[in-house]
Parts: sequence; structure tokens; C-alpha cells
Amino acid sequence: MEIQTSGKSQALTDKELIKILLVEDDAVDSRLVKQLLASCSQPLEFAVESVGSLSEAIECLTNRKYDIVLSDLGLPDSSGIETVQNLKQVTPNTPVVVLTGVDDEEIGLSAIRNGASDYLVKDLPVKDLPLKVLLVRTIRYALEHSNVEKEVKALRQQLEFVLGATKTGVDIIDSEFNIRYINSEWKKVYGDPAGKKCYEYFMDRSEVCPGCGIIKALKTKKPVVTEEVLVKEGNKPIQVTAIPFQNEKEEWLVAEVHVDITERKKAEEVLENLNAELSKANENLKNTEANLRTMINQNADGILIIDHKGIIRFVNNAAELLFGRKKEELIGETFGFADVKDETTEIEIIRKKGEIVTAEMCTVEIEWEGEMVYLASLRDITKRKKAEKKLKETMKMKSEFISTVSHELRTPLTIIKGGIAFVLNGLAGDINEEQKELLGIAKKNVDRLARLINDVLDFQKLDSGKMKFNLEANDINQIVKDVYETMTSSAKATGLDILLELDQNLPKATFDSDKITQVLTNLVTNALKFTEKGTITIKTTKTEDAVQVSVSDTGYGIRKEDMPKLFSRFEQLGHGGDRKTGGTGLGLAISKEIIERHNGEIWLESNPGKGSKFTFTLPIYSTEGLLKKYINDGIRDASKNDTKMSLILISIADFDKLEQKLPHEKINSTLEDMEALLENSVRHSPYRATDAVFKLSSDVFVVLANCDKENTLRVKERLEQKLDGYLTGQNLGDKIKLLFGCATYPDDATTSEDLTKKARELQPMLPMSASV
Amino acid sequence: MFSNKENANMSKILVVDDEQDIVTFIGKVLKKSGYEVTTANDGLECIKKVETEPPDLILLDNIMPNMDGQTVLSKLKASKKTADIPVIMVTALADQEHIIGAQKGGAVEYIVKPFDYAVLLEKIAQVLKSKHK
Repeated sequence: MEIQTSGKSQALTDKELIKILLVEDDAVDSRLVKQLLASCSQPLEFAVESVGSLSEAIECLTNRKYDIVLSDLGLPDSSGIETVQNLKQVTPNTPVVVLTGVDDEEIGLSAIRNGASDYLVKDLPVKDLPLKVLLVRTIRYALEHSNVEKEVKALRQQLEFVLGATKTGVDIIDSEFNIRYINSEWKKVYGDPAGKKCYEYFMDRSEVCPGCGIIKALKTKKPVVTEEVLVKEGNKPIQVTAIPFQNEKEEWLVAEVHVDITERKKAEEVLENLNAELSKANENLKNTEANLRTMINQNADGILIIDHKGIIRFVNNAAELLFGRKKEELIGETFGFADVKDETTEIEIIRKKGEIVTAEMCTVEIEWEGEMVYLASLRDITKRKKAEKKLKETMKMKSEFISTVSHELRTPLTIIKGGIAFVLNGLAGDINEEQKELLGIAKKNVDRLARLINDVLDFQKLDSGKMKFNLEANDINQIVKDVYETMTSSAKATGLDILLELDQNLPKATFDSDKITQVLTNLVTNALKFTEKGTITIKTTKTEDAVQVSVSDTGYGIRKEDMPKLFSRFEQLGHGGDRKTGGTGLGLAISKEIIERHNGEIWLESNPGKGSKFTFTLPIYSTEGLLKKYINDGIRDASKNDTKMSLILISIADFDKLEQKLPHEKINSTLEDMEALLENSVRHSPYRATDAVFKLSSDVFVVLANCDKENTLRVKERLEQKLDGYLTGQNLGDKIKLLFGCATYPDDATTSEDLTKKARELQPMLPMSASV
Repeated sequence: MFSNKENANMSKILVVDDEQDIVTFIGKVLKKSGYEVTTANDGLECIKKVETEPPDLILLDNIMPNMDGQTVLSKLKASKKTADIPVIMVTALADQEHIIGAQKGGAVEYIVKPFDYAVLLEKIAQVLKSKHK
């Protein structure tokens, strides 16, 4: 084998080196071709390798790559078309150009038909075309052709690859539904089309598919997109794009692209479901919204939203009615009631015609559309207010009525009582037994009448809060003993005994001795009334924070059904006891009220047929607690009756240093004396029944009910004088210095803490003027 | 109680009440105790009587037509001539208002109807005693 190059350097970048395998057994022809190729002046370089037989050629082709094969058909070991076929078999991708002799055109064509790229006639008359040119051209064309073929093949492979990767089926169908082309994807699953019509091959149908996209595409000459279901693949959903085009023969064909849309379909279904859910949710939301809207708009209470600038932002129907103005008018306006806060107040709305409506407004702060606003709900309370006002008036009328009536009754009572007493006492002359008896009865009944009026008045006072309580530390046992003294004779008269079981270690409790005496008397009287025989026992005991008094009898007892009625007014249990002894039915009600005003409790235990036991408790206060309660009660009564109350504080200056100047007992006795002095000055004026004195360590508080500033100052002066006099008398004037302070409700303060604080702004006694 | 006749010393008491029966009754009781009694049925009469024959003590009813006890009291206290005569208010109303009113007005005592005439006499005696001190 010889390898001949054209002498120039191999494989330069701007030169093409074409490797040729020359298969020519004729040495002359072989040399000629070589020469011709060597003298080529074009930018082509030919590297020619020549062999003389087919077998040699095959060996070369097997071992090396050539760009082109030039081959004579007549070889020692092969001839004619066989040569071509063999060569092509060995190297199907290398172009083969056949060299023929003159008059061998038939063979040349046949060679082409059998795989040769081209043929060359060797012995051409020189004048037609230089052989060299023809040779080169032929070679070049063959190479081009081969390259193009390779490119096409590569492209086709790429296409198939892409189609395979994207699972895209492509086919080309003609107007007669014949399958002109089908890609490997299809073939994988469906096999060889083998002349089947497309509807047969793809859909197992014997006729054209309904809604065939091919027909439409051919008709409209425009791409048509349809969705099909591949019956042969478990009804896989696919999208088919049918694209009509004309081939080189101007025949109309349709290229179909099939895309698996299973995923898409699934996604669509999911989307549809989501949409359905969204729709439902929307519906629900709309319903809820509609409901809420209805709830707010149709609410019987007016609802407003007011922002922090005081502008009305929302108005519901009821609010519209309440204000007597349209929503549009109200929204954007400033809410006319200042100080909208987190609370409940009453407001008065003046409507257009001057009509006034009272509303209760509850406000709460909320977050609304990103800002903090006030949500106000308004309730029309005009009717309620009117009713309240009417009730107040009625109560006032009732109160006044009772006062007037009782006053009216008292005068004749005085006269009757006085007249009878006068005669009974023999002041109008001697009287006989019969007269004495009759007058006695009359007197008893007048007294009863007086009690009745008092009871009614008492009750009225309690009811209207006008009854005063004089609370102080008292010994309950003493009260019991006093009542016992009073009642024991009348008890004996009815054959009953009163027994006392008194705890000797009782602390002092805080109560109004007169009122509690009244309560105890009431209970004992009842016990006597309702007991035929046996004993009445009064017992005193102590509990953790109170003293307890119980009155037990061995009488009829009280049935369970009757118990609730017992403490209510005017109810009497019909055993006749009350009728006999003349009760008003108010006793227990009054007693209950009195005990409760003492912050105590009163209750009953009873066994019908065996007896009853009434018990009440009275709290034990510390002096401070008592003082506070007193002040608070005073404030309450003052505010109720629109009067004033005052506090005077007398304090010993530098109390701690006092210990150094005087012995302990002296200090104590001085303080006690001062307290007594004050009590005397304050209590024994008939008009000051409800004032009180409280001693707390080195301070003495004087609580003046119903006393305004002016009078308080007067009282303070008086007390200062008295105390000054006392200290001087005791020769303590230089040792003990007193400080005074006072405060009046509501002028100086409105709470007990503040009043006490003001009273503690102490000043020394004012210098006394010479004429006292 | 009627042994206070000596102490009574012919003190003159003016009884003022619009109810004639009360006036009669109290008058009887006072006379029995040795006091001299004058009467008036209303405020105007009271003031007139006080000016013409000043008493040692006035028993004044609170509720009267035309001029009530409070007003009479203030009028009495306003005039130098009559200011020093002790006044005992007789009232059917025992509530704070009226009691305070009485005190503010200058009444030296009060008594609530219906009263025991013994108590009344006691109070009168006390007032007159402190007056003569």
C-alpha cells in the first residue's frame, strides 16, 4: 500500500485533507487517478491510499476511516454490482464513487441504485471535460451528499431522541388516513403500522374517529388542537395538535403531535376541586358575612364605630333610629359625646325635633381595619329612665305621705295619751276601780297605737336610708341583761321562764345599743308570744369575727313553707299570737334590716311543734375598721340626702417623745379623759345623736354627721377650748400640745381615705382669746 | 313631779301650737305644776305675745300653718329682745333635718310627740334651772 500525499503538509487548519481509498486493480488507471488528484490546486488535499482488490479494500476499510472510496467495479475478487454492495456493507457510512469505463452507464446507474453515491466514466474524451475536474467534482459532491446524509441522520436521531425524552408521539397522516411517518415512541407501544389506517392503528377503529382533527386541519389549512383518549393505553388522555402542510410533491399532509396530558388532567381535576371548594368556601363566607351583617344591622341596640379622632365610621340601623338621622349623615361626623372611653356611660341624644332620648352607651376598644377604634353599643333607656324617675317620685311621695300621716297621727295621740295619763294619775280627781280598769285598757291601746306608728315610721326610715346608727363598742351581754330585766316580769306573768346563757369572755362588738336592744326585745317578745309553756333561752357566744346571740323558745315552731315570709314586711303567721298581743308584723322585718345594716346576719332554725331559735350576729371591728365604716356610712348618707359630713382629728404632738416626759399610765389616763371629754361634748347635744368619737393610739377622731364646714369649725373651736381647759386644769398645758385638723365631705374630699388625709393636715390650737 | 312647784316660781311659759287640744292639754299640765301659761295658735300670735308679755320659756310646735316653727324660731332669735328666751321645739318629726334645724335655729331642747308629759316637765325644769344659773 502506498500512501501518497500531494506533498504539502498534512491537516493544516485552513486546508481540508480528504482521505481516499482507491480500489483499482489496473495500475495505469490507478496512477492516473493519483496524478490527477495530486495536482489539484484547490484548497483540498487528497491523501490517496490505493489497493488492488476487494479483500484488501475491506481490510483497509475495517482498520481505517476514509472520507470516500473510489472503486473500479471489475476487481480480481469481485465484479460489478457486487463490489459496490460489498463495500457498502463494510462501510455503510462512507460514500462510494464507482469508476466505470465508457459505455458502462447502465452499470453506473445500477451502482447508484445499489448504494453508490456516484459513478465516473474513466476514459472520457479529453475535450468534454477535463477528467481531473470531473473527478474532483464528483468526489466533492459525493462527500457533500454523504455529509448531508449524515446530518440528516443526526437530526433525525436528535428528533427521535427529543420526542422520546418528552414522550411525544409524532406521526404524519395523509388525506386518505394513511400513516406516512410514525416516530419510534409509537412503534414501541403500538408496533409496526404496516399499512393500517391511522384510526385503525391508534384507536382500533374501523372508521374515521368522530371529531377527527385531521379532517378539520386539512379543511382549514390551520393547526387544530384536540383532546383524545388512547383506548389502547388504558384511556390515557392526550392532546393532539394536527398541523397541515404540503410536502415536496405539494401533497397536503397532516403532522400530528401527541402529548401525554395525564398529569395536566390530574392537575386540572385538582384545580377544579379546589375551585369547587373555594366556591363553597366563598359561599359560606358570603353567608357568614350576610349573617354577621344582619346581626349587626338588625341588632336592637345601636352600634357605632368611632375612631380615635372622634369621627363616626360605622352606624347600624338601630343607631340610625336612635339618632333620628340617616347613616350617610352620621358617618364622617364627629361623635358629639366627648371622652369616649372603655366604659359604660349614659348619654342624652337630642333629636331633630328637640326630642330627648337617653341611651346607655357601652364602649370597648377594638382593632378594626388595622386601627384601634371604639365600638359603642347604645341602648335606648328613655323608658327606663322615665320609669326610674317616676319611681323616685313615687318613693318621695310615699315618704312624704308617711311622714305627714305619722305627724298627723301623733298629735291626737299625744292628747289622748296625755289625757288618759292625767286622769289615771288622779290629777283630775279620784277615780274608782272600774274607771281605773277601763282607762288602763285605753292607755295600753294608745301605747300600742304609738308603737304601730313608730314601727311604720322606723321601717320607712330604714327603707329610705334615713335611719341613723350610733355604732360603738358595746358589751352585748349587758344588752341581754337589760332586756331580761325589762321582759322578765311579763314572761313570768304568762308562766314562762327566761334563761340566760352568757359567754363571759366575749369581746366588745360594734353596734348601736338602742337599735340592738330593739332587735333583742322584738325577738324575745315574739318568743313569748308564740310559746305556750316552757322556757325562753337567750344565749351569747363568740365566733371568729363576731358575737352571736340566739333566742330559743319551746313554742309552736315555724313550718318550712312559712320561713321565707317571716322576715318580710307586714306578713304575719296566723297563729293568732300577733293578734292577741297586738303586733304590727313589721318587727322582724325591722330587726333584719337593723342587723344587716350592722353588717351582721340574722336567721332562724325551727322544728314545728318543738320550738324555734332566732340567731343574729354582730361583727367585731377594730377601731380603725369601725372608724372607716362610720366615715363611709356618713359619706353614703350625706350623698343620699344631699347633706355634708365632717371629720375632726385631734392629735397629740410628738407623741413618741411624750413617753420621755410622762409616765405611761398618765399618758393613757389623759388620753382616756380626753376621749371622754370629747364624747361628752359631742354626744350629749341632743342634736348630735349620731356623731361619734374614735380613739386610735395617739389620735382621736370625731365624726360629725350632717355638719358643714362652718359648723365644723365652730365645733372644733369648742372642742379646742374644752381640751385646753382640761389640760390647763391638769397642769399638762406645757407638756402636752394638741394639733387639730378637719375635713368636710364633699367640700374637701369624697372618699374616706382622702377625708382622713385632709384631716391629717394638722395645725396647732389657735391661741385662745381672753374672753372665753 | 308636781312637787317642783317651788322651783317653778311662777315662771311664765308660752305654749304655741295650732292644735287647740294640745294647747289645752299642755296648759292644764303646766298649770298643775305651778307654771303660768300663755298660749298662741300660730306664729304671728306667738311673736306678738312674746313682745307684749315676754315669757320665761317658749314651747314651740314645729308644723304650723302660715309660719312654721323654724321661721318663728329664727325670727325670735333675730330680735335682741327675744333672742335670750329659751325655746323648746315640740315636733312629731324626729328626723335629722328637723332636729338639726331646731339646733341651728337656736332651740335649746326638743321633744318628740307623742311624749310623756312627765318627760316634758322634766325638760322644762332643766332648762329653767340652767337659765337661772
